[in-house]
Amino acid sequence: MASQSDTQSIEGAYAEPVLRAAGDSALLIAFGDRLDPAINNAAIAFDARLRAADITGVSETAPTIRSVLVRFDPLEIAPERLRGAVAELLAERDWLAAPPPARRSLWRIPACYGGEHGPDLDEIADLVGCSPAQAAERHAEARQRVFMLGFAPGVAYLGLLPEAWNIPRLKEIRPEMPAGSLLVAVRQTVLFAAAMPTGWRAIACTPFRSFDPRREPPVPIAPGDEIGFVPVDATEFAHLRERAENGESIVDQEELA
Amino acid sequence: MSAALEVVAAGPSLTVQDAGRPGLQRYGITQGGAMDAVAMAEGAVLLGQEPTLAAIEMAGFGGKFRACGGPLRIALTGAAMRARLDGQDQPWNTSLTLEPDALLEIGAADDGAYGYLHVGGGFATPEQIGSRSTHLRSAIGGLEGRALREGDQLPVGEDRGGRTGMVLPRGKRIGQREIRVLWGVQADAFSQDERERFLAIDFDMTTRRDRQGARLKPQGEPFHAESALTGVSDAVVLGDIQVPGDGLPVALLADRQPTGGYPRIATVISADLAALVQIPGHARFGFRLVEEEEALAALRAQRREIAELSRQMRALVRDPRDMGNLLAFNLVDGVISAREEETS
Repeated sequence: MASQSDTQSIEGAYAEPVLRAAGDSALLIAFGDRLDPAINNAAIAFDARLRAADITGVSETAPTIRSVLVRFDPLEIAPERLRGAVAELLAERDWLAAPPPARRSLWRIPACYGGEHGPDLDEIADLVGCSPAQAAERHAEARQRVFMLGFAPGVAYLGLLPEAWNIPRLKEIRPEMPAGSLLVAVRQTVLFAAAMPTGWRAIACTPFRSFDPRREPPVPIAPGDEIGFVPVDATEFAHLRERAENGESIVDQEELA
Repeated sequence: MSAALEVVAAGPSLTVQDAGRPGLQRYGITQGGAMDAVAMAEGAVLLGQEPTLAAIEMAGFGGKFRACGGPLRIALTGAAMRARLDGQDQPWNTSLTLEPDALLEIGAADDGAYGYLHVGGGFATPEQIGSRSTHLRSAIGGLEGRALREGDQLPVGEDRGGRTGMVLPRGKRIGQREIRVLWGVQADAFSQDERERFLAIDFDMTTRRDRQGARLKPQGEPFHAESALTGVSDAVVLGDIQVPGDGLPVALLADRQPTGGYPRIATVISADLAALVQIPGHARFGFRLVEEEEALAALRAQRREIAELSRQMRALVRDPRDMGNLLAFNLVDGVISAREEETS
């Protein structure tokens, strides 16, 4: 177990996990209020612990960037009893010292930068302070972690990009960006699984679909996984998209030790 | 030809719904499913089948329907809508038999917001990720993941059969204008004054609403969160009342986003979720704060009422007060049902 001083130095981490009722049928256990790998590891690890504990009356758990959601039937397990069981599990260890999940993957995902697939690349490069080609290269090479699946089915929150990428969101929500869009802001990338409006800037688009109801599970990537992008040109993009639509895999998946 | 229901004309938002997809929030998939789960239970009781079978959810307005390949048993629940069977008025919260040559017309909701059309055997549209529920945003479930439209034919599952011409009393949730809440996860982001105001004032349900959420218009100033949030998204739950930057609250409903970054001042108790979704556009209502204990007691009472629904069911002809127009009934069904009821 790591010493308290180690984990208290994590910026944005709470000294103690905060347990709150979210309505009468859910609990939220938060480990901090920042986007931080250690806080995210705590959430992922505690989610796994809760699933292993298999508490009667709990219908599902889900990790987020910095917390764990526990949904339950309050007539099957009284909220007070569930809070007690959760507190016992929280006391088992220093969750902020938890390592990344044991079985996780590195995904290499094709992406076409700039042009119609990444209409904001030039503007992003200006904000980052480099050329568009450099911005595309640096974004693709950065190994980003999956912090959370949320917002909509299969939408992945990735990060953290280097400090130079701490660029603001747009002032206006823009109309629908297509499925596969890679959007950047505040050192993060969001991978869109379906066409949606957004307040973030589009740097690229991938022919890979992070949500596909034909697949089991419908969302293959998981929190804690890492992602690198492989730049492809528009011709290759069109070709890969066709293959993906036919149900072929167009990404590389490698187990991370 | 196997049985099907043909959509002869479709209102703006008809979708196939069942109990949804629980257990997938970790993938960013919220449970979804019928907005009014009590109405699904009522339909199941009226037709003597499982509440998990798929039905058509009708937001505000129905459509015109016809049976294909044989007669269909139908039940109508949820928001009371103007219904006519072959031109004759049909009471709501009832079961009926739809003969192949008959036309069922369902108009606007008189009160409530979501009406339901159930069939004996349930709709047999393909399951996707373990459910037939339509999720428009990700284009899954229902028919091709979209709202129903004119000309659609919905396959119907095998009906074990049973009587029609039955009626259930109108649920108390429809017309309920006091919604009970617990403080939300970020209630402390609001000042004491703002929290008190949230409970004291009335709200108007706006027409800016869909299966994801409903905008609420406060009688007075928009709400203001005291402490700025870090903007890191967190999980949201069904019934959360979220306050976005413009200060106009949004109730998060069945197809809500699974995560959000705006503070949530309150969360509607489970027992009042069906009442909340059934508040019609422009109707005025308010929130009342309760303790967790009252929330659980209300949920227990609601589950008991649902479990005892079948005892509330009556044959239509036996209760003339429920009949808008006596001549409009399919009297044969009712009479047979009444006798079955007496001898069973």
